[in-house]
Amino acid sequence: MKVLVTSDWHHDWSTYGVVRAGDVEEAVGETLTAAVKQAVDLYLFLGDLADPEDGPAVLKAAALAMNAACILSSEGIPSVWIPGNHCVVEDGSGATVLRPMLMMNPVSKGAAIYVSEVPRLHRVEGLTKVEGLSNVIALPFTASSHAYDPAEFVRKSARELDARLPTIVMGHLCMPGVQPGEETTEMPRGREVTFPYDAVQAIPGRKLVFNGHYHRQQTFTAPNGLQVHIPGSLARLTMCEEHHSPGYLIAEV
Amino acid sequence: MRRSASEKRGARVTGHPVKARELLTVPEDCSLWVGVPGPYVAGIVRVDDVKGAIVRLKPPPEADDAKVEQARQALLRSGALAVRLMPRRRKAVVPQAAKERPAPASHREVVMELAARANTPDRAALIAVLDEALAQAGL
Repeated sequence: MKVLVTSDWHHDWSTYGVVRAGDVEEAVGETLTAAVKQAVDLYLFLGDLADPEDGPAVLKAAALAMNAACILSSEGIPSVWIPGNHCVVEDGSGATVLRPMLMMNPVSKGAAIYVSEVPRLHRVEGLTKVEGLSNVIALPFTASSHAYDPAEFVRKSARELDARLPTIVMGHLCMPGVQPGEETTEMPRGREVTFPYDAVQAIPGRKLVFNGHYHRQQTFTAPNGLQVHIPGSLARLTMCEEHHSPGYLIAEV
Repeated sequence: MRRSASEKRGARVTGHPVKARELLTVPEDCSLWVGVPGPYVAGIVRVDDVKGAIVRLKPPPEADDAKVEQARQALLRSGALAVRLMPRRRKAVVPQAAKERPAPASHREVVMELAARANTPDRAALIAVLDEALAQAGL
């Protein structure tokens, strides 16, 4: 199984007054081209599409994400989408900027576009494969009105996994031990919800672990030995990221 | 080659860069500010890298407005998409030389230096008195 992982698009961001939407759109295009050319089996988005406060910006960001998901679906590539701390609407509704995509109810229409505004265990089906593809445990950032315990959710999910399939854990949570960058200083938003290292480490069988939120691409080894792969953002967004190499990850199991 | 824990479990994860716009900082100590010509716009930045970049300009306190504008225009001519000027540090009000602390000296050296400069009709007598006082104090 081959998986493409991307995160932290921040489609609404401006750097010193320069709107970065075009840069992000080009980079997203590169991920889609790579997904098709490399025949990946699954495409993951780990959150932070855009902030919800600016209506027109949200509209454009949601359109970008929905268009990407539809392109992937038409190419036979399932995708899973979770919101990050920048995506949530703090009005008690639990809505995020991914809500329009969720309301399309794409899975029921056979599109294999999975959207998780709340934590969820997906058994992702390949569009061109008869067998299931992967267990995916989605750990989104949620509004404070819809808070959850990530460790408890992972433990519960671990008991319900399809043991024949590998498991992917995808999150947008804070990771103790990771050197924070501008995502926590110049671009702060939301509260701190920590990644459940121990609960994820205890998941049986083959597993791959990814987390968004951090803009520098890296692989972090937690104190318990768990490896978490961070794709980073798709553009250099703040001046403190001038030495970053933005990109995406491709994982093969 | 060192294999990661994921690789040992049969997984391989690789990073793939995308074409990303450059963000560049021209620091205070850049040769741009002293007008050094060459293929490098900022002493550290190649002309090609400036094309399409968003540049942050940090002028040194000595650079006047004309010099800053000249640098800004040079970057824009080289293809920078935007040049943001950061506030200059203020020039030091007190000259650097005045800030320097005197070399450490003994009590005797300080007193004798003052005595040498003192306005007195009998410097030798003054020095003798001070010498005796210092000796009594063990200095």
